[in-house]
Amino acid sequence: MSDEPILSLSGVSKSYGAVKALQGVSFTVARGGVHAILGENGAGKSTTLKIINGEVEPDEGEVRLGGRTTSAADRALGDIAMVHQELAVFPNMSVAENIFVGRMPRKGGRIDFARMHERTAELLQLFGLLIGPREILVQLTPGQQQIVEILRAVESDASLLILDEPTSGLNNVEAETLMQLIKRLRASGHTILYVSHRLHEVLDISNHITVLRDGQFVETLENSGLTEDDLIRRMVGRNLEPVETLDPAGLADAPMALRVEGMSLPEGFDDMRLEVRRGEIVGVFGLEGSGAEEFSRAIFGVVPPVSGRVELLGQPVRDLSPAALMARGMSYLNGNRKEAGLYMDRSIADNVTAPVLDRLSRFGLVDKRAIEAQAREDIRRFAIRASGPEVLPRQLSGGNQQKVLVSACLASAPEVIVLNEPTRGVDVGAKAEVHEVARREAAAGKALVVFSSDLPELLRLAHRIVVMRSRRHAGEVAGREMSEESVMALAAGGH
Amino acid sequence: MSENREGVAPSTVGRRTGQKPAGFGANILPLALVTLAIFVFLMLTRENFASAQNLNSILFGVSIDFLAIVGFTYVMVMREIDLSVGSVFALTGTLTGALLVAGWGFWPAAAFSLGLAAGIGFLNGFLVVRFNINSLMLTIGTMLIVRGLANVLANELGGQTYPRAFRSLARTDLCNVRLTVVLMVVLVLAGWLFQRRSALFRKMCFIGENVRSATVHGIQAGRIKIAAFVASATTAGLAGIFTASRITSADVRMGLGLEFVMVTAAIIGGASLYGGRGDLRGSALGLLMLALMLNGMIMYDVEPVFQQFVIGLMLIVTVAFDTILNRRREG
Repeated sequence: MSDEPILSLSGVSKSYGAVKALQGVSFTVARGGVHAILGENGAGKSTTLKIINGEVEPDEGEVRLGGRTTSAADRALGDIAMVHQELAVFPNMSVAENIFVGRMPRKGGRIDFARMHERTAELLQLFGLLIGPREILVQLTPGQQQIVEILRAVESDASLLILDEPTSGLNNVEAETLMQLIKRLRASGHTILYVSHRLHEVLDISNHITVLRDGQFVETLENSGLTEDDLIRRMVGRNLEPVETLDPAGLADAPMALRVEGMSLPEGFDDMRLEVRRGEIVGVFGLEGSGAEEFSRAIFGVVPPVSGRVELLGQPVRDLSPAALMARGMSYLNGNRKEAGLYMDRSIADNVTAPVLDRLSRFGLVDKRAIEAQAREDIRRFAIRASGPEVLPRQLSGGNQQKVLVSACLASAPEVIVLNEPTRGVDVGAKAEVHEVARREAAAGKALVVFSSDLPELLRLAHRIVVMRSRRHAGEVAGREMSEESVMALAAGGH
Repeated sequence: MSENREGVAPSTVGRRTGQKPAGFGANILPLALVTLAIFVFLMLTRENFASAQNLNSILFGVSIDFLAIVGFTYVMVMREIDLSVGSVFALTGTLTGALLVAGWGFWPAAAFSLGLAAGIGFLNGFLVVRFNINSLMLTIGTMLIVRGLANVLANELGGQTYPRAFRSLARTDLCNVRLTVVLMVVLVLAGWLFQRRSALFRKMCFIGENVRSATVHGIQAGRIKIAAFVASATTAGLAGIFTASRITSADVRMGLGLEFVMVTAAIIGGASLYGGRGDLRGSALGLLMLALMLNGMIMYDVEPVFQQFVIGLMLIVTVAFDTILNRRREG
């Protein structure tokens, strides 16, 4: 084995519009062994992987593979096999066909099934897996399907394997099997680039760990004697703006506004609980795959959970549907402005009044003056920078679009407000304005639940943070105990 | 108030630059002009065209088909489609006639048949909403099932003519104008008001444009969709009753291919396969335009069997336009 590193990045930068995804990132990956890349959401992990895998050309810097400078196109064709976070299998085909897809062994122009099945059985046995080569993928567990994907990458004989969050969709047992597989691959001399949020996994299997933060390289560590705390400190170690923590004292006596108990959604999350009092802002945090996203949608009935009790303003909720919850004083903001957010072809006035059409109507006919008045009021109240209520959302900046969405969410004067990613993709100024709105609502005695993958945002905004991990409630931190370290320890920590 | 008026002014600048906010309802003026142009062209080139008898017959035909497109248009607004309209149209008309032949009174027969139509519509809507089935495929299924039933019924009747009272229904006049024409005018005006002012139509547009947002905004998309499918089948049934009366006897070809005329006319009239838009006035004009074209072909001695070719061509052209326009809006 040569000493030449298999992969080296030097001064790699990449921007998307005004957003600097990566800035001058340099590190090397030695041949053989598992090299982990760690970082918070938005630290630049996926951009780094995309550049290494040749999906994206960096703006600056060079990527050397086996000592040679390469272009993105070279790498896309070449010696790298990547297993993406989302399953990309052919569900109706066999294990063998999935592993050999695109390069099935031929004999006289026909597929040599015998050889293919033989080789697959060999591979499966080599890694101690109890799956048959002829089994159809849909009949396997997600973990087994993930393993088949990894074997496909292994069989391609690439000299570098990239695994992006391979355990995010798996339960603990399946994740453990996968860890065993990776250890065997490491033992047989493969080089693996491994990305995961789960710190204990990373500590368990890696030889080296590279930490990224805010699009920049922090450090590459030798994995010996490291603890989870060491990693967390490096992941979050940015200079935080002074946080004026909201004082949770005095809220303990406030009446309960929303109580969720024992809520479960198959493939989503299990046995979740949540309590929010009037005047309180509760943050919910979880890394990707923690179930926080599913939970946010389930508590508003967008995807109906299968079990659980919900109490809203002291009354049990029987009909957990958005319409019924809205009628009883709850409201929901979906931060994804395109998918479940704005009506891009409707004016601002139509957008902000969509949830309250009935209130602005008499005998089923809408009062256009009332709609325009409400729109003008909202444009003023939320400082939306638009020339008038007839303007289309697509003519506005992202921040102003977000403010339109927030106006619509608050149009029904709700008592309980669920904000899902309230500031994703929004500039700093608009972000502060949205936070200000949230604080104002809480001060007026409303109860707020904020789901966000932006941890500093939650630390600044919430009285209390509920943390999810592995699709469950992992713990809560409140008041002075709230820090990036304490939350990340719950979100990414071991058992 | 005058302050408000002035406040609107800056946004009209945005309008002129081409970023026009979609109103609730389409801009039908260009369509009206094209239809008028076809009309004038035929009037100038074919002398038989502008005869009172021909024009009356075109208008009468359009007014009956129009009844069937009322609910259909609003189903399309919500990004669904109901291809069973033609079959429901045939079944309801034939069934009403069959019941009359069997000695039922007109009102019970019509009410029973329309009730059945509404039931089929409910089934369509319920399956689409409850199991999230693609309405295009689902209603192709119902189209075939209902067509089968209608054909059995028509064969049973074996070309028997309907009772005289029923045959004269479609020819009922109100102040010297055909009842269905009066009905069309009334419905177009009602539809216009509905589109301009009602909260329900706005909700339908929101559902069509972004059903996930609409749900989050507490709009009961499921119920409204089911109601629209019921309306679509019911209005198709109503048109079917008038048509059965007009053709005076059971016919297995009744309403054959009507659904494709409806899609084409609705899209010409401003509806979109991508939802969020639709205009009853436009749908009426779309039907009129197609009827003028087909009539014009007859005037120019084009084989009547060639009509399907033209409807097919128009369908492709309008759907292609719709898709291209929609892609541009997305971009």
